[in-house]
Amino acid sequence: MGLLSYVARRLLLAIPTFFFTTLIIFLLAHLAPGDPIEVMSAWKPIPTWLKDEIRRSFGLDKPLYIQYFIWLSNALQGNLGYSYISGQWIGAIILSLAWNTIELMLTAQIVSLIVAVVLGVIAAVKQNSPIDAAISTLSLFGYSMPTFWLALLLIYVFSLNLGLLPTSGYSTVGQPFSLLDHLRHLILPVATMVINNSAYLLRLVRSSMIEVLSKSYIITARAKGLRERTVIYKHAFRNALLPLVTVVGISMGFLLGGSVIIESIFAWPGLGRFIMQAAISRDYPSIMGTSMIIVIMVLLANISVDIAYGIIDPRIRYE
Amino acid sequence: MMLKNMYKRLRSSRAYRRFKRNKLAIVGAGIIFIFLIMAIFAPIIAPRHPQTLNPNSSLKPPCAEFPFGTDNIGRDIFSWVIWGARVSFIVGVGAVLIELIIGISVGMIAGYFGGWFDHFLMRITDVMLCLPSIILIIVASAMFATRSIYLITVIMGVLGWPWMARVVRAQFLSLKELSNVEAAKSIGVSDFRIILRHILPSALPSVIVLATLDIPWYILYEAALSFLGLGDPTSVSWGMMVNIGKQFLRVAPWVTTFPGLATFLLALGFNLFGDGLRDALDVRLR
Repeated sequence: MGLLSYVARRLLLAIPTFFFTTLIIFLLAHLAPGDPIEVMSAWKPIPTWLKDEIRRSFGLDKPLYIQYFIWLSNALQGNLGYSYISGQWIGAIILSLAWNTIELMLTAQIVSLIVAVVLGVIAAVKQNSPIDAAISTLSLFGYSMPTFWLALLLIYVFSLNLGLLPTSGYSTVGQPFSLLDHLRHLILPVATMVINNSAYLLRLVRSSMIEVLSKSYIITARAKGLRERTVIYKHAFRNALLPLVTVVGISMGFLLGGSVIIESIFAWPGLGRFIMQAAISRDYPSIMGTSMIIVIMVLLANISVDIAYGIIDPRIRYE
Repeated sequence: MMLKNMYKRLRSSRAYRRFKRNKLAIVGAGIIFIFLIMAIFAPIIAPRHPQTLNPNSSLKPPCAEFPFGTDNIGRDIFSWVIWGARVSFIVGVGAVLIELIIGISVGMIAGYFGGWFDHFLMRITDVMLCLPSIILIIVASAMFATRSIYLITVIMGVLGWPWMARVVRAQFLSLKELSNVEAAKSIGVSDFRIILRHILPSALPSVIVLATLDIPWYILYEAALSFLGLGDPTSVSWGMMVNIGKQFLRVAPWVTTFPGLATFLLALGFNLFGDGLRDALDVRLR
């Protein structure tokens, strides 16, 4: 089967997943006790007649399944509705925030991959040496660390004590935007994500590298008298890379999940922070719209990973 | 008597010997044990109740009276750290128990009988793969105006079972093809008995390892929720104290340091222990 038809089939398979996910989020949001008007009312009391009026205008008086289909048919036409809180068009909010989250995630993913591959290969080649033990222990530390605590530690050391980096934000407020300033703001959130994320990837690189190094073609390559460097990088590494590619898709989801915490701590204007604020104020259209975009992002990441898989490993046929 | 026999069998098993040789796993078990003692005997070990206010000693650095210092309203961080172990254990173990009950039942049925139920399960787990669980948990928790740690435990367990179900399903798919199952079927043993007596015991090692490695995730999730202000505001949670300390990071770093360190150590303990179990039981997940 060709690549194109494979991609088409994967996209088709993504459709039920998409429906299921939005349905689950919808039920999760609507079935919990209370509604957005009660949340607003707790903040500033609203008379009962007005509450009913607002509910009617938001369409919240209709049966649940009708509300879902109204949302779905609008969403499929590209209309995600208006935020209950700010009254802004949700498509516009998401467009302005999505890039910030993607920037954070992609940078973190690329850096984690580099860190994981370098340390993982070193640990595997020096298997059972003190270096290997140190790297493996470090990686366990990395993913046992609570993200929020790690972030605060980094802020404490690098911002508050050493004064090297800004504590939070997307760029310095009140200054004209400059790339250098923005990159300085990017370092700490990315570092936090990398420490958490690469720890997991590193273990995978190490174990798959160890497995490959015990294969007979490696022995053959060594027996031929190839240099150790060639054996490791040309013969072992490419084959050890495969399992890593599979989990990159999963770790995309992992990073997106972490972005809620990271963006809250670092006041990063992204989707993670937005969906959390939307959930607290029960801003249904915002919750639905943002989670829809997140699902699409993860689905696309997974499909592109599958395609990359075939490019790296020519033995794989798309079926 | 039966317990004694089980203990004897455990001590002589290969898995036990392999586990004992793994120093890191023993360290993990030790860390878990210390925190467990703290959780059980918190009222005896802690110098005072963690929610006691000492307005005269706010933001005190660590000293003889307050070994880990105090927060802005004079609460003793040391006592908070000790009591906080309770919340972490309740949430971590509780959520895993819920995950086990739902995950094993669903995975068993899907793997053994297959059919539409199996398809349904696979679609649900696909969803969980696409929507990071922390986002689901945050959205679900934010929906409730009053949250107890039990509600949070239930939310996490109910949203966390699909992975467990997937692993159980995969185990059942391969185990039901074995000859002992076929033999049992041919002499007319009921499905129920086959599942319980012939398949489930062989699936247990993977289930135990996955469950152990899930506990630290739930502990970290609860801490993160409390840190974001979406936890149980009346509970003594480590994440909550880190959140309080966040505002005083510059002047009183101890408020964040110690509760965060406790969360990290307990999660590390479970990860070390779980890794050791995996190696000892020779389980391969994924």
